[in-house]
Formats: sequence, C-alpha cells, structure tokens
Amino acid sequence: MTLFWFLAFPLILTTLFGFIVPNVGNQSKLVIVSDESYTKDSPVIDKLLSVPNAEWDPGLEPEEAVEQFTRGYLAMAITAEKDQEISLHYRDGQDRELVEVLSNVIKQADSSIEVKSVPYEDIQTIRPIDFILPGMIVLTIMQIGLFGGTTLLMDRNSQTLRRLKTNGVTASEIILSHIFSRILLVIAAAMLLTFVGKYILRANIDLSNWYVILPIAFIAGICFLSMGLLIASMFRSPEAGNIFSQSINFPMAFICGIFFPLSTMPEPLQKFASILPLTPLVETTRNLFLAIEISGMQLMVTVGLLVIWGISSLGLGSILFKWE
Amino acid sequence: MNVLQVDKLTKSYGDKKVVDEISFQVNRGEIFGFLGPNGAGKSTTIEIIAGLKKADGGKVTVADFPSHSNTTSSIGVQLQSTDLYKELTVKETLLLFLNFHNRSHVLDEYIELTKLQQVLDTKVKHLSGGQRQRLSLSLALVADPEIVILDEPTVGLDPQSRRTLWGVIQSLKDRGKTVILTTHFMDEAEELCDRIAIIDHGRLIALDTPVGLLESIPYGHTLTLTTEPQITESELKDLKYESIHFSDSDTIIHTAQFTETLSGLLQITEQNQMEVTSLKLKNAGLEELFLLLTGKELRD
Repeated sequence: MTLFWFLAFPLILTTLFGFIVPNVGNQSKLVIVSDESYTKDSPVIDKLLSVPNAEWDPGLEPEEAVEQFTRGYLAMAITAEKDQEISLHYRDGQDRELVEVLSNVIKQADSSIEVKSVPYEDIQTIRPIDFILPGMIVLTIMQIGLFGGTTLLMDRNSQTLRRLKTNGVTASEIILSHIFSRILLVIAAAMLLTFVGKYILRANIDLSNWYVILPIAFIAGICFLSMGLLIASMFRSPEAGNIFSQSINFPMAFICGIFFPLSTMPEPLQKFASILPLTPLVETTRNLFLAIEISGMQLMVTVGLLVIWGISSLGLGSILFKWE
Repeated sequence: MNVLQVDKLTKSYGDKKVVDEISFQVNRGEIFGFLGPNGAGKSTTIEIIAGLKKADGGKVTVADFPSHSNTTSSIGVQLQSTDLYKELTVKETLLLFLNFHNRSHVLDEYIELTKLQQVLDTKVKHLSGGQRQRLSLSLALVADPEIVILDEPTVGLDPQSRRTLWGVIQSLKDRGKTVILTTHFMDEAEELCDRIAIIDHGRLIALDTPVGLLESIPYGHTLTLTTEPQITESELKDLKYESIHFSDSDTIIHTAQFTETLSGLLQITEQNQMEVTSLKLKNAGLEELFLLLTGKELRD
C-alpha cells in the first residue's frame, strides 16, 4: 500500500497531468529584461507591459533571459540592453505576428528606438510532462515526509515504541532511525520517478545537475519528515494525523507551484507561498531539471528555508511527541 | 537474597490513587506473583519497576543497580499487549531485538527456550496467540536479564497454550532467573508462584507463599448445598461450621472439618425429610481468600 501511494500514485498523476494539462510552465510568458538602460517606469517598458503575458523581470540578466528562452522556458525574451535598441528573441515561424505587434507598441512609445527581431530555429518546447515531473518528485518527497509521522503514531498506539524502550532503545534513536529509513525511501522514490519520467514517459529533463538535486532531495526529505514528526506530536491517533497531513498536503501542492506556475496565483497567495518550504524547492528543482540557470542566492534561500522549517519541526516534534 | 526492593510506591492518575504505598521485596531466583482483579494496580506497579512509568512517591531498588534509571539490561519486560512488526518473521524479530544488545549469537538458545523452532520463518502476523506470546516472552529475555517481568502472559490463550507457556516460565526459574508475574488467574498463581502478593485498589492486602496464604483461610472447604425445600439457619444450629450464607436456592457453608460437617448436614436433611438436589465440595483456595480479604470475588 505504501509503495502504491508513494511510487505508483505519483507516476499515475504525472502521466495524467502530462496529458490533460495543455499549456503549462511559462511558455506563454514574454519576459522583459534590461541592463541599467531601462527601468519598469520607462515609457516603452510601461507600454510593453500592457501586452498580455508580458512581464518585467528585474532579477534576470538579458543573457539569462535569452538562455531561458532558448531552452524553451519562455515564449519570448524582450531584451533592452542599450539605449534606443530593443531586441525581440522569438521562435522563427511561430510568433511573427506577435513580433509585429510588439514592434508597433515600441514604436508608438518611442519612435526613435530601434527594434531588432532575432529569430531562433529549433527551440525546444517544454511539454506539460517536463513541467509536472519535477513538481511531482518534490510532491512525493513531501508526502513521504508528512505522512511518515503516522508510522510513529501507529507504533506508539500498538505499544511497539514501549517495547523498544524496554530494550534500551532511546527516543532519539527511534526518531533518527525513523528519519533514516524514510530518507532511503525518499531517495529511492525520487530516483524511480526521475528515471520512469525520463525514459518511459519521455520527459525532456536534464540530469546533469544530479549532484545538486540529490543533496537538495536529501535535505527536503529530512525537512518534511521532521514536519511529519511535528504533526504526529499533535495527534493521538494515526487517522487524525493522516487527515491533518492530507489537509495541508493538497493545498500546499496547489499554491506552491507544483501543478501551475506560481505567477498565475493571486499576489497575497504568492507571498504566503513564498515562506513555505515547498515553494522554493519546487522552483529550484524544476529549474535544475530543466537546466535553467539558478543563482546562488536562490539555492541558498531554498536550502535555508528547508533547514529552518526542518530544525524547528524536529525540535518541537521531539519535545511534544508523547511516547506513551 | 533480595534482587528487588520496593518501598512505599505510590502513583495516582488525577485524584485516583492506583498504587497506594506498596512495599515488598523479591528474592533472587523465585517466581513472585502479583494477583488481583483488573484495575487493581498490578500493571502500573510493574511498569514503574520496569522504568516505563515514574512513581509519584516511594523507591524501587534493583540489586547491583543503585540508580533505577538504567536497568534495561537487568530487567526484561513482557508487556500485557503489544504488537510486533507484522511483516517480519519470528527469526527476523528475534535477531532485531538481540542486536539491540549485541547478542545475536545466542539466537538458537532463545528459540529452543521458547519452543519457536517450528515457526521461525513464519511472519508475525500469521502466528497464533500462544506463539505470539512465546515470541513476546523471548523478546523480554534477549538482554539476558536477571529479572523477568511478565504482565498477564496467558490472557486470551487456550488451555494448551497456557500450559505450554507455564512450562517456559518454569524453565526460566530453573535457569536461575527471577520472575515477577502478574495474573488474575488463581490456578496460574498457585501453580507457578513461590510467593504471591495480593493487590486490590492499589494496596497490598496479603503476601505469602501459596501454602501460607491458603493456611491463613480459617476454613479448609466450602460445601454448597441445594435442598427442596431450602434449609434454614435454625435447622443448622447444631452443625459445626465456620461461616454460612444463603443465596437464591443454595446454602454455602465454610468448614474446617468437612467430614463432620457433611455427615451432620445429611442427618439434618434426612430428619427434616428434605430432598438434596445438589451437593458440591470445594477446597478453599485463593478465590476464597480474596473474598475473605476484600468481601468480593476476584473476577469482579
């Protein structure tokens, strides 16, 4: 049963989402970036932002935006690198009409600006499965962690924990062995989903960053297992613990960008989601799998949030968990 | 020689005192029985001894362990009801627990002791009640403890399984172990225990050998007589007995000299032309002692 929920179920869900969600990711996003030549308040940028799906990204360098575009993560990259010149990077043969519209918008705002159209051939397209798979891997890691505390509740209620204690096994040893055994499940599930996704479902994901992904999966596993312990410390029965885990599992999955891009959510929800450990984890993992460059800061924020949530939950859970 | 000393142990849950200043000592190598009805405080007392619960007051001293805080290698506990890991086999379960004490090399000894040879490769979930209890008992022994605490080990077992487990417990004594056994079965206590402590409402009300306890009963036998019509107390005024009471249709007579009482009783029924429809004779046992001490039956 455990294997079904933690391995087969995410695979089924990934496959289903891969087929039923037609357009995911940021493939519709027209990202506008600039070096110091333009700001968001510049008249031309202001005008461009009135185009549907256009978005100003001050955190992205023009080269990074072009790279994201060439990897298929964006619909178009609009780069303003020097005064009086704006480049439109687009898919050749697909977005010519849009390029004309954007050129007109720029000319209307400032006729002195030179618009350069830069067509690209053979730009890869991120299919729904490519977008969903990293999210599903992260979701599985979270589920194994959050629901893991239920096992402790079952062992407590069946007095197995008591029996272990009578044999000299300490509380910290029980918690550590609980986390260690499930970390193995986390890593196994993540690897299996990755390989099935890549080689059977043919997801276009890049595994060259495995040495970053694996430690992040490990840290995420410990974080969510600690949260599972905290949940277990709040309830008497495994059933109650399961219901609570379920009640936070699905909302978190929806608001943290697993199924839909975070940018499609209302702003207050985005702000709330940004302090949850799942949000940066999903984004970082997805970027790593889609070979989109991530900054050191993004990596630090992701790991930092996981560590803060993990240590707080582990500390509180260890104190509050009732062994009898 | 004492292996365990308990002094004025107390424990309350809220306003309810479940262990009330209990004191006793257990001698090395004996089977010490705790007899009492459900809820008497037996399990709480042994859980305190085993270090699973903290006492509100009093002291437990285990020989060679001045501090009672770390006695897991000295005391083995079989809890009243615990699940084991259902998907593990008997052998895997034994090895797991033996490894906690770095004693996996003595696996065969424990298999033989608890007669689990036939089910070594059986998953725990497929064991019968008796087999599960024997496995549970063997897990209490994996640290090779000097004191073995068994909490109601035969509850829910069929007579044959009970007898098998009794044999195992007896063999523990033969190996020099000290066994503390809680039970509410009088036959079990009489059969196995060298000394028995009777506990009720958290208080120790009697402590002696089974023979000593039985000798403390002022009568040796109980006669239960049913006659038509029912005999009255005035008709029994010349009969020798220790005590008498009447139930719906029965007359229950406790006597120290049952031959004399029985012949007198038959004479009275004959003289009064009564028909004896039932006559039962029973040796006085722990049940009667408990009744005498508490005014209620043990099974209550």
